[in-house]
Amino acid sequence: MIKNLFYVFKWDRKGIQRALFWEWLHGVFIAAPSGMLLLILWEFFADLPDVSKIWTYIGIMCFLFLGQLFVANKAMLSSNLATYEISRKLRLGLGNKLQKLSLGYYKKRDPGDLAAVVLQDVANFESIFGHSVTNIANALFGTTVLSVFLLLLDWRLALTLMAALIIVFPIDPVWPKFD
Amino acid sequence: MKKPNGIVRLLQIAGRRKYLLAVSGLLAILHAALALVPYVLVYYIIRELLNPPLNSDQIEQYLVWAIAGACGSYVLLYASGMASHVAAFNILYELRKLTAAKLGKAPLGFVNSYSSGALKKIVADDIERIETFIAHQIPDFVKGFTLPVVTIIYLFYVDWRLAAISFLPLLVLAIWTPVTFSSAYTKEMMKKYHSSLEDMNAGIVEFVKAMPVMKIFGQTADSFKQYRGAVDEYAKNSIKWLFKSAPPFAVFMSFITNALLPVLILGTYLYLNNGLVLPTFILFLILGVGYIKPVFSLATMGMQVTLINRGVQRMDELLSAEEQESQTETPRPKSWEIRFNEVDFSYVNGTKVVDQVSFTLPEGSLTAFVGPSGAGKSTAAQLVARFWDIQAGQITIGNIPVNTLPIETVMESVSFVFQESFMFHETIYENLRMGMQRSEKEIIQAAEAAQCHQFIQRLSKGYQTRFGEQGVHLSGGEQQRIQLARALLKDAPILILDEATAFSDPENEYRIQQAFSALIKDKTVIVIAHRLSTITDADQIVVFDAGKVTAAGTHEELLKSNERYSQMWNAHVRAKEFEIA
Repeated sequence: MIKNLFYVFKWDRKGIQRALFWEWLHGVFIAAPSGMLLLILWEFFADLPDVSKIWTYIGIMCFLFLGQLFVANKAMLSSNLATYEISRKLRLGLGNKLQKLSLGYYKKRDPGDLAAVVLQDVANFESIFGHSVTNIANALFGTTVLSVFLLLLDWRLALTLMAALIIVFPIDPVWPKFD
Repeated sequence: MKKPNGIVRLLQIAGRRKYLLAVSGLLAILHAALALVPYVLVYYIIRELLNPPLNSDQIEQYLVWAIAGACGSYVLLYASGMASHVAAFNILYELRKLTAAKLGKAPLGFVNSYSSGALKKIVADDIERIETFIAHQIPDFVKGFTLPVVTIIYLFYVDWRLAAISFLPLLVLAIWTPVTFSSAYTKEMMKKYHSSLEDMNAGIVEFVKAMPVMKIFGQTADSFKQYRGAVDEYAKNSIKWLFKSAPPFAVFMSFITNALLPVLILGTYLYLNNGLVLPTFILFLILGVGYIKPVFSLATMGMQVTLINRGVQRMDELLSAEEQESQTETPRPKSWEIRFNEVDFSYVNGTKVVDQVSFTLPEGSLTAFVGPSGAGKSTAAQLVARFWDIQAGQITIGNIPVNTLPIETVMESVSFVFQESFMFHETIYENLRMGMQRSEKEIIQAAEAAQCHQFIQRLSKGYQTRFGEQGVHLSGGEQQRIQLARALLKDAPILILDEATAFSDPENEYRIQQAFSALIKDKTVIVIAHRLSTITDADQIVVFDAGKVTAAGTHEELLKSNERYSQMWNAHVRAKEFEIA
């Protein structure tokens, strides 16, 4: 799968790099409120809570919210633009290839099958990649950023939280077989 | 009364299974209620921790309950999923059975009016989607609705001020999102996007299917230019739509991520001014934000519901198709004379395709239907086999009206050989046998008579070669000879040959003509042919024009008496001379 993804990415390398950067940055913005909340709670439980520090954190969160409006927009635009460009190039590439095939090939393969490759398979890529890339990136970058932050704060509790991932991973590939 | 649609219709279809769905929903509600328990207990634990002296036994007790609540909620979720899956699979089975039975009972013409792709979409894809929707979305919907409601009630019970402010992001998005997406400009853009998508899809199918012809005529560059145009247009419209939808999406994402901000600001203010205790504040930071996400996941269900509505609608169109009636006690015809008596037929009300048509085809005779394209020849022939039911007049087989004969009797009595043949991805042997109870000897005899034994023998595994496997394909003429062998095996007393040699090369046509002589012996035969030279020996030729029968007689009689026929004959002869020249 990874090999196929890299092959597809080659059709718009720059666009994909741009999309990855913005999605990474968006991941930071998604993880940030949870981290900030933790800092605020930390302060609340301190022997002498620093009120100005708490309001500063809340202020930063408000700025992060405004920043996210811009970053989320850029992330969605860049990842979808890259997806549309790749699927456009894939469709044209496949069309170009179909022109060069021998007539015998058309006799051997059902035209319905060939149309399905250009039509459905590219549309599936467009739909899955266009819609899921944001979720995947958020899950990946957001979780990583938050995990690093938690590890720095208290590595024992952070590891306890991460234990859930270790439990989920072996179950995850098995689950669809029951579905 | 208006017919229900969408989920209501789905529940109607579910029949007895809807009780199983109700059980699934109830279990999902219990799961949602129990899922809250650990969070509420966290609140109690924090309260205990912040109010010394510490009661560790009590905290341990809370922890045990929290774990039990979490485990219990997942057991209930599992049970809910099991119930919905069992209901979904049963509904899927019932729906497939219903649609398959319907296709068996609906007129052949009705079935033919759907493309194979459209039927596949209804019977396979739409029903599959309904199954997924019932199995997954219905419990998710119940959960997505119940969890926020239970949470909100509890939060209002604990602190109404924070509960009210936690609504703020929801309120903003609930007002703002529909306003953004319901403008006339957005609707117009969406329409353009969908129309360019349809154009591109149609363009792709045409480009691929027409490619062999384009290659022969050296037109691939032009064809590719059109294809590129459709692909580029779709990309352009997608990008336009993206620029319109990205800002609302960014707002949506940002509100979801920062949904805790209003609760945090008000909570901090109240806590610092002694209006709130810390455990309650923390409870709101956990639950006051947590309930928003399931609400938004409900919004994404809108798309699913639209798709399901369309699928259910398409399925209903199929299920409500008029079935052909017949009388099971009608005796089997004793002769195979076919009589049309003032027959009227139209596909669409008002446009007659067959208009006041009357003629008689004596038993054991060969009759040719001729006439220009669209004259009603094929339709008239199809009416004999009840592809459609007529609107006026009567068609009889052996003096028995066809519409009183059971469909099975009609199908047993009539064999059809079409221009286009269908081959199953099965062995050639099974393709010939077509489920009929025939011995191997009979099958080989039929193949020999239909002039296909020789080419079958040349295949790698002879009769046991699988069609379509490892590039095993047969030419159009060869496939037509397989059709003839099937008709020979069926040995029905009425035979209809609809342009059976239309796509054949001279060699195949010669062989098919040879096969015909074996096939038509002692049968009432209707031949529809454009090449008039192939039907000059027919016992009777019926001339069709604009849905009416304008003349009937032998070739010689018609040449003398019917101007239309002699025009057609002269045109045919001229065309043959032109070919030779």
